[in-house]
Amino acid sequence: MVYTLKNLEFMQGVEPFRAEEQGAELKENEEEENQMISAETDAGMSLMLEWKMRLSEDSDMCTTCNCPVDFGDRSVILEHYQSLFHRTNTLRKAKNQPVYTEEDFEGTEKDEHDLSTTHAIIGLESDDEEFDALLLPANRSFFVKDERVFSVPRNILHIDESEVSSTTFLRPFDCAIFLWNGGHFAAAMFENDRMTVQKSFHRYVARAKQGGVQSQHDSGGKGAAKSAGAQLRRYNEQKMKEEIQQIMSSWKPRLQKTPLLFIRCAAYHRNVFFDADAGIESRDTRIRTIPFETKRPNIEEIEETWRRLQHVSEHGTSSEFKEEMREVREKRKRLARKVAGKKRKDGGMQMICEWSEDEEENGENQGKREKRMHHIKVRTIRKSEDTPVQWPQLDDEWRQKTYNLIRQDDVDTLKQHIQNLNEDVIPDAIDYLKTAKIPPNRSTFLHVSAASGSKKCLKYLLDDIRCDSGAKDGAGLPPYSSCPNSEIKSIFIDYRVENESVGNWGRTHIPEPKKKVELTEEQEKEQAERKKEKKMRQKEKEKTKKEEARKEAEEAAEREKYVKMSEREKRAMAVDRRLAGLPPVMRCHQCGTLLPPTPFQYSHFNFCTTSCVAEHRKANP
Amino acid sequence: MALRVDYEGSNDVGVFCTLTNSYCLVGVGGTQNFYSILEAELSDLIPVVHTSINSTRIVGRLTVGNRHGLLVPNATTDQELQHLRNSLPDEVAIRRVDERLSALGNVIACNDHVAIVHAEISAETEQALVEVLKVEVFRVSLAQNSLVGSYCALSSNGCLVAARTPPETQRELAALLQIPVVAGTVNRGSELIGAGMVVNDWVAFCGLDSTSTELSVVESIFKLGEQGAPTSISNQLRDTLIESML
Repeated sequence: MVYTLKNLEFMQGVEPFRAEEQGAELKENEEEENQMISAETDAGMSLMLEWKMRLSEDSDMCTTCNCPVDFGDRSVILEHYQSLFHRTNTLRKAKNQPVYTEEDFEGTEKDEHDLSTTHAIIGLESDDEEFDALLLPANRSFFVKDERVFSVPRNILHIDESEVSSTTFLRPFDCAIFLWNGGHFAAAMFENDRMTVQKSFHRYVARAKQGGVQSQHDSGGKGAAKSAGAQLRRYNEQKMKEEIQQIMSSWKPRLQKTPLLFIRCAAYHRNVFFDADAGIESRDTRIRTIPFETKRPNIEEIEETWRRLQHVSEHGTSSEFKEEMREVREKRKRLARKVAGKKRKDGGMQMICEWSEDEEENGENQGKREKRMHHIKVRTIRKSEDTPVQWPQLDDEWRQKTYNLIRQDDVDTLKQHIQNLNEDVIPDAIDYLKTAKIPPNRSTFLHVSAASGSKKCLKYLLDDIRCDSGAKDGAGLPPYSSCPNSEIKSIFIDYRVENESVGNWGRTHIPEPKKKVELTEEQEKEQAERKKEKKMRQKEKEKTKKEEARKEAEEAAEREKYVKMSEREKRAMAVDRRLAGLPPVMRCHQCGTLLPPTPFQYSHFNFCTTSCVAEHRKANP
Repeated sequence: MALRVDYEGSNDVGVFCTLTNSYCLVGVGGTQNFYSILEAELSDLIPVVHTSINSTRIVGRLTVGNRHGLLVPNATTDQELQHLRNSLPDEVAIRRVDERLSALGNVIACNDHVAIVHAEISAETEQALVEVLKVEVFRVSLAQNSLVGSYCALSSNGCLVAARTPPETQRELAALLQIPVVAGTVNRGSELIGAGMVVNDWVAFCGLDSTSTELSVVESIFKLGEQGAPTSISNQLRDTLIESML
């Protein structure tokens, strides 16, 4: 059976769902309190009276911690405001978390509130309490009706509601829905459960086959495209924005009245809605996202969205639901613990588990149970304290020197440095070289030597010390990955060639060496010939280049000579050539370059370009 | 005495100016009027230093200081630091602090004895406050406003907090600071007290939009001018009346 907001059975008797323990405890507490008061024991009464009086009379209290502080005594004030308790509470208050009471605070572990590493802890809390709070998916609002648990998307609640109540079901589901994807836009407004205004249109803005709208492509680093299609799309995009804003401003009075605005569009388009003259700001609390996928924007899809937003999902009876919740929580805790434990063993890492829950409704037809999927995201965080000293016989100075020697690639001194140690310490030193993890990135000495390009040391570490070339650093990479160039890489590859049979090379990331192909004599000859030919060709090319350069120089000299000649000389030369039976000089009269086949002419002057003509005219008016 | 000034047309003088009992920092800009009013009022008593912090002129929001010292954010350039060192009196200590919340003026409010700070300020900055400004440090928030520097102004005589601060918080503050605390506004209803005005022990500068009521609240809480004598009250009333007629 499919439930919607319109079902008659929700008309009354709807209560927000609460996790049972809290409620029960609350009741117990209340009862206890009632008992205390009704018992009318003198001691209890006087204590309460005193408390009440203090609160009402002088109300000296720290407003952050909600605890009384004697403001008459400066030392008391100082003590309280410098205390870890107060500082923890100010932080929690700043983060909108509930503040601790004094008893709660003493119950929690001290190191959790270590303020010296305030920034490290932000977002790192993983109490059971947090588990409880996150138990119900935050995007749905749960409620109970006749001992059965239902939920609706939290997005459909109005601004002033925090939980579902009967009014949620009594009122019409009025809202405005905007869907915009690429060039498709659809919008509609619902008033009194009916669609009153609607608009949908399409414009050509998306780049076919490439994907993405034009403006995204233009801003994507390659600069604006100049093709006709791009212009068209750009224009259309602009028009589309204007059109949308126009629609919004024509709907302004309705939009300002509507209690909910569902907007589905790309993040870079959102501002279009806020820039429109419709009185909607980006901070508007009525704006909601649509908590499921939507198809291509059109009016049918808007109607479908509107229907789907009203779906109420059922979760079975409340006891069943609670049982399920508990199971899920246990599972999560177990998983978190497991992952944490595993990683901790792995090497001094501290884990944080964040988990999120995706709920997938299993279709309207089933409408029974929701499938839950759990994702555990795992982040690693460095532990601040150092690992315990493993090699007590090696002092800091020695370690520092070893590190420096490896960085400087001074292999002889390094060997000497190790030999200088006592006989019984040497195995320790070798073990140190093999396994030590160096702080900033937990890299081994192999990583260090590879990264700093210390070839000799690298060879020494691989061949003599036999360091493990598959050891991972903090980022989970083997030494081969920190090689800066192919020269260092080739050392690793050579090492693999020598020790191909040993161990598993996959984890070292060292590639297989390329096999050299044996060439036959004929092939070799062919290759040599090819090389020769290539050389010849190159030589020829150079020769022609030189020739060209020479010719050009000659031509330039000639040209200069011609330009420098006076008008008279030029004419004389032309006459001389004609008498001698030589072809006439085909040079531009102005700049002296050789003339094109059809020169520009006036009177007896020839020119290569019109600009030369103009210049000549200017010079000889 | 409380004066109305504006900085390049902006009422938020507290943004562009840091005023203490031993020096005054103003952001470099083109507002001669602002400078001349400040200098006429202050320059025979304390140095008025024109400076930028991190090449911006919002010195009031980025720095915090009192009679004993000055804290500047880590982004302050060496040149600016050198200029400040040269211009400020020798007994004023300057320190650059590496604080994540780098707008120190927004997260710290202090007088010569006490400072109230934002909850998330680092321990190093707190240490610097104690050492350089020689103050007691309290981490509090003014009800919903955690940016204490923006929402309150304090001197050795009194403290003005944003109008919507609840009475219990005011009581708490009064006990911490050991000075009277009052809720009010500046600049015709702005709650951003720290950004809208600057004050030291003998003078206050508010934005040009401040009403005379606001000014009289400022003058009375910070004990500026001769408020005690009855004649001066009537004088002041008369001045206000005349002013409103002009």
